[in-house]
Amino acid sequence: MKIRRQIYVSGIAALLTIVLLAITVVVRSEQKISETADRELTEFLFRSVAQLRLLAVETSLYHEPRAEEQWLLRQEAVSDALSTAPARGEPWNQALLKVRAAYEILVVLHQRLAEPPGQMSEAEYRELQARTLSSLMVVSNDFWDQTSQLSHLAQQQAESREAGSKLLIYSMLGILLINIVGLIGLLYRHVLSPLATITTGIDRVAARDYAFRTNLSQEGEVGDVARAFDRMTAELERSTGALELEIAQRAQAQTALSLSNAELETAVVKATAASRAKSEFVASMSHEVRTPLNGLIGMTDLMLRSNLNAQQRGFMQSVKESGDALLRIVNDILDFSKIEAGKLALTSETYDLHRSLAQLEKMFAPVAQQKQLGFGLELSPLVPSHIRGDEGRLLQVLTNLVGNALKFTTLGKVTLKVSARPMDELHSELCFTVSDTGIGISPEHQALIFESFSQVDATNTRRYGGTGLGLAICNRLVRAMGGSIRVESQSGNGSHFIVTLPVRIEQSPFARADSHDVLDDLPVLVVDDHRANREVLEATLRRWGMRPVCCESGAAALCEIELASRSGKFYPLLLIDLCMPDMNGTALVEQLCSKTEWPVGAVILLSSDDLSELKTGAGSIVCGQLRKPVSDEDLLKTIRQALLSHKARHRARQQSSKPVRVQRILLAEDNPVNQRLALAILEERGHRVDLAVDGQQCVALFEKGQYDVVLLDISMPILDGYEAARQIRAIEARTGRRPSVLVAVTAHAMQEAREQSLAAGMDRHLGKPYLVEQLLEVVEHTLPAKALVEHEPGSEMSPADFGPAFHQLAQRPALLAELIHLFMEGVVPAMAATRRALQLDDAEELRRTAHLMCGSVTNFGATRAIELARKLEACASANDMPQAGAVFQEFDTEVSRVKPYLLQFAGGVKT
Amino acid sequence: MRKIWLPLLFTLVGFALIAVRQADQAASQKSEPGKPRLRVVLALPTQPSNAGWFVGIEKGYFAEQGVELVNQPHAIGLQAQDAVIRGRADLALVADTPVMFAVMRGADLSIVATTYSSRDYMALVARGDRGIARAADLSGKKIGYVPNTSGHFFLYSLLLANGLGSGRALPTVVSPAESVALIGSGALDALVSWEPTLTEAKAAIGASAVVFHGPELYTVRFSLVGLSSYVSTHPAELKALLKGLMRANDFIREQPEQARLILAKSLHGPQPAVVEALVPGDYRISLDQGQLITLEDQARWALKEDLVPQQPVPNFLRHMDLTTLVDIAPENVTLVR
Repeated sequence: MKIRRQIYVSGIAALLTIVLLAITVVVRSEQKISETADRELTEFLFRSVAQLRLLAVETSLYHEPRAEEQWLLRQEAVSDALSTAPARGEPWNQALLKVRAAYEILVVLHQRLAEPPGQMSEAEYRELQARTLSSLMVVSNDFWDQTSQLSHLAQQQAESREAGSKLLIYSMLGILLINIVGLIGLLYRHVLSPLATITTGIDRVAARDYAFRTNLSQEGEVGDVARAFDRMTAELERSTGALELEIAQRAQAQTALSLSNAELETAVVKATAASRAKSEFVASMSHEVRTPLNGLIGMTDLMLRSNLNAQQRGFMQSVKESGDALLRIVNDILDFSKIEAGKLALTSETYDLHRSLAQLEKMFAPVAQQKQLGFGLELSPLVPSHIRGDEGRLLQVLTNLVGNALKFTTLGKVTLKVSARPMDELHSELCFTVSDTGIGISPEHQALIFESFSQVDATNTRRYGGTGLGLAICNRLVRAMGGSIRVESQSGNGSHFIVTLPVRIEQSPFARADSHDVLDDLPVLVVDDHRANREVLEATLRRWGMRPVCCESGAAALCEIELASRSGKFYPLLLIDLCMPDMNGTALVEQLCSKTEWPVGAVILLSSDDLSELKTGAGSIVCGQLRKPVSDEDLLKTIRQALLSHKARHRARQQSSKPVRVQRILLAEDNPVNQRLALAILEERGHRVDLAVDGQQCVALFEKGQYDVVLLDISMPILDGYEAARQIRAIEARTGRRPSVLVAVTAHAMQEAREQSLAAGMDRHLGKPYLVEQLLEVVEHTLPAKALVEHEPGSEMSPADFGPAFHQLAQRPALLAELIHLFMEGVVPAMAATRRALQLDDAEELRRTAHLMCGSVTNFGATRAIELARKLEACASANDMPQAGAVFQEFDTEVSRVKPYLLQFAGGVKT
Repeated sequence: MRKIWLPLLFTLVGFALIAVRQADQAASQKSEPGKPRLRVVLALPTQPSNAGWFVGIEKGYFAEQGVELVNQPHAIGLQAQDAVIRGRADLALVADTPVMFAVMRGADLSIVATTYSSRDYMALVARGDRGIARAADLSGKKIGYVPNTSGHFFLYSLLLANGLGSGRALPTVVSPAESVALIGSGALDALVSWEPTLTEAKAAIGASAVVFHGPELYTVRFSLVGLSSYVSTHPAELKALLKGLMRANDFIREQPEQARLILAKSLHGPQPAVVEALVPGDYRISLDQGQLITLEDQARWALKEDLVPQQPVPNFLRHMDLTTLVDIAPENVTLVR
């Protein structure tokens, strides 16, 4: 039974009682009205009978008309009252009948009293009067009695009704009270009391006492709530117990974990220390091994350049080869260590893939030639020229693969095919396939060759050398770059190593020529017997807006030139492959030189071989040389320079015979062997070299003298290369001296070392062991503008970091000079404003000045300066002031490097 | 299910209490068991005026009150009164005129209560064939009456009111037993009578019978009387009798037809008209001032007519029992006290 239903029943019972009570009250009210009427009637009758009796006596005694008149008035009133008196049931009605009857007799007796004596004797009349009066008294008394009876009945009935009503009302009230008490009891027992118990339970639960139970057995909603509460507390008790147990277990586990963590932290510290020690050990070993190796290889190079007999040269050649092999092994171990240590840092820079591949081909061509193997690079026209990625690591992989191919091939050829599959506008998947006709790899070994320290056959190690790390490193590197590597091979039938690599295509600065460029619609004659080369060149030239015409031989070229000449046309530019059957490039150039009647444009020779032989013979019309494969950048640069130099052919001839400019060089090197090596190389070229055996001595010498280049060994006693560089830059800043080129020379091949060098203010980084050419390239090609201007303007006048904008300006010398002077006037206050903004942490001002300077350097196409200015602007926009400070330092250095060049160039133009 | 009836139970208990209270009230009106039995010899005329007594006897109301009532039947009240005076009965039912005569003749009677009163009880039945159509026609007619009864006084009042006093009519004394035969035979022209004799007389006269009533002349009262010595010493019997009679009167009012059947049975099968004349309102116990006036009026008449020894009009108040009825029904006592 639900409480609600019980309440409903009680409520209905109470309501019924109340309704009955109300009905009783209403009925009683109506009864009182009738009782009042009855009481008024009887009171009226009492008064009337008294008055009638009085009037009857008056009539009997005096026979006055007034009494008769009053009797009649009263008689009429009584008649009306009795006639309208209501019937009430017995015995009221019988009494009322008696009253009416008595009244009628009274009327008769009164008439008799009022009658005159008539024929009666007086005595008889008096007797009759007395007798009538006596009867009237009796009847009136009867009238009175009956009225009393009516009154009594009315009163009795009223009292009875009143008592009944009171009893009924009191009973109803009692019932109502009982009902209410019952209802309250019901509510107390079934609602309030259980609720109090539940409330107590809630308080107990709030006090985390979950053992409390209401144990209520009531039916209905409250009982349901109580039982639900009990279930809840039971569940809470159970879950709390479980929770406490779990907490205890967790606390125990936490304790154990804390201990484990402590041990783990100790282990991590130890492991970190061990890793750092390993890394440092490897770096140190690398340095320690490379340093003597540098001396060994360098000295061997020098020895090979000296006059040796055949036997000695053979010995030295062996020494050289062994040194190179040892260097590769050391490099492999170092790379692998870095990869294993997770310290492989890939750079992401835009580079010219075509140029990189050309360098690769150039590097391996002599080896292939030496082994009498065919070697070629096949480049698909779809391969983008400029991509973003780690150029060094890609070349490392390809070098390894090509090197292996050449190593394991004794007969036949080795080819490097590069194709591309465009993925979208910005991305392409490159596919590098290195194919050889070597010994091949059996299927069972193909799965192992990319594992560490694994070679196909142990005998290979003995036969071909190597650590077995090369392909493992390649595999890791390719994967790190997001690509994959696989091999397709059959034992004895050569191998195909296929590297696929997704790359981001970057807009080549040489992708298309600007409008009104001199290259627009420029007729170009391409002469190459190799069809693929012709197609690549033709596509590139057309992309730049030129109009290439291709010839597959020298004879065809001569024929084309002659036809053009006859028709009044002229080829301002000729790209001629040097190695062609029948008539090679040299012969063709000589033919052209001999045809004085033909206007011949600038000639650029392309070859996979060394081009030095051209300098003597056909140099008169040859304005540029390129080794295939040629990069877009090199090609465009060479084309522009060739066109310029063609205009001043006689200056080109003079410049071609000039010796190398002598540089003042300060060499800081603590290792005697390396000292001797570097001195020998540099002095052989005629440079003047001062030697410092440590950093401190280096700084002292620099302060006293003036040097174009400072070669700083990083690992020097007393003062290391970094600190020496900083002090040198400080001296320059203090004295206002023209900045020297600072070159870090170190065996630390880590990227960190390179970045640290640049941060210390150095311009270049030369890794040990270095080749003679590398050292000379660094010394002679990274020269201040003053030195460069003395070189032939058509070949090496522009530094690599000046873009096409500068070259366009160079064709308008007056404009260029004016812009340079404007730049010089504006750059000093702009730099000062930038410094102030940095000091004041004013990001908005910094962004504004950075933007201005960005615009200035963009005019000249100073690539590095533009990049740094944009980076500075971005830092200012991001409010990254610390980074902005570091970038500004780089920008300042770059501007300091650019300024002298521009000044000199402006001066050269003017002169 | 227990819960649903709980509030209803309270309600029912309440109603039950009311019912018990009502039942108690009803029971209080019934006999009180264990009372000592009383015995009363009542001289009771076999007349319709005593219907209440017959009903009480028939219904056992007196027995309920603890009274063993011994019915001593008489033809008329005068005889019943004589039985009391002679000591053959304890109490009698009798009209006021015989009481007046008895008191003025020295009987020490005491009126306990009036048990019946009527203005139409007394009547004069006349022979129409003797030229009697109205009361004035009674002049010179021979009118029979039973002396010392209410009929005697009724006749006096009727003749006086109609100007027939002073010997203009010829009142003739008859006995109750012969009166019907005399009027039937024509020895009488008219006869003062009351039920059941009245009906018998009318029947004896036949179709020419003419009946005169004089409601304005006389209100006859039948009263319970006894010797004062008895009345003063037997209050319990008197109260018990009056209580039983009051219940019987209630019965007559509530069930008049049943009462008429009992009356007919008690009168030993009279004419239907006798019982039909029963008026329930006439059966009422009282003691009123009118009775005193009537008794004194009759006393003055009796002295004037020399029907009793000359004496002052007695103080009939002293022959009224003012205790019994006052104790049980004071509202019925309108006598000036």
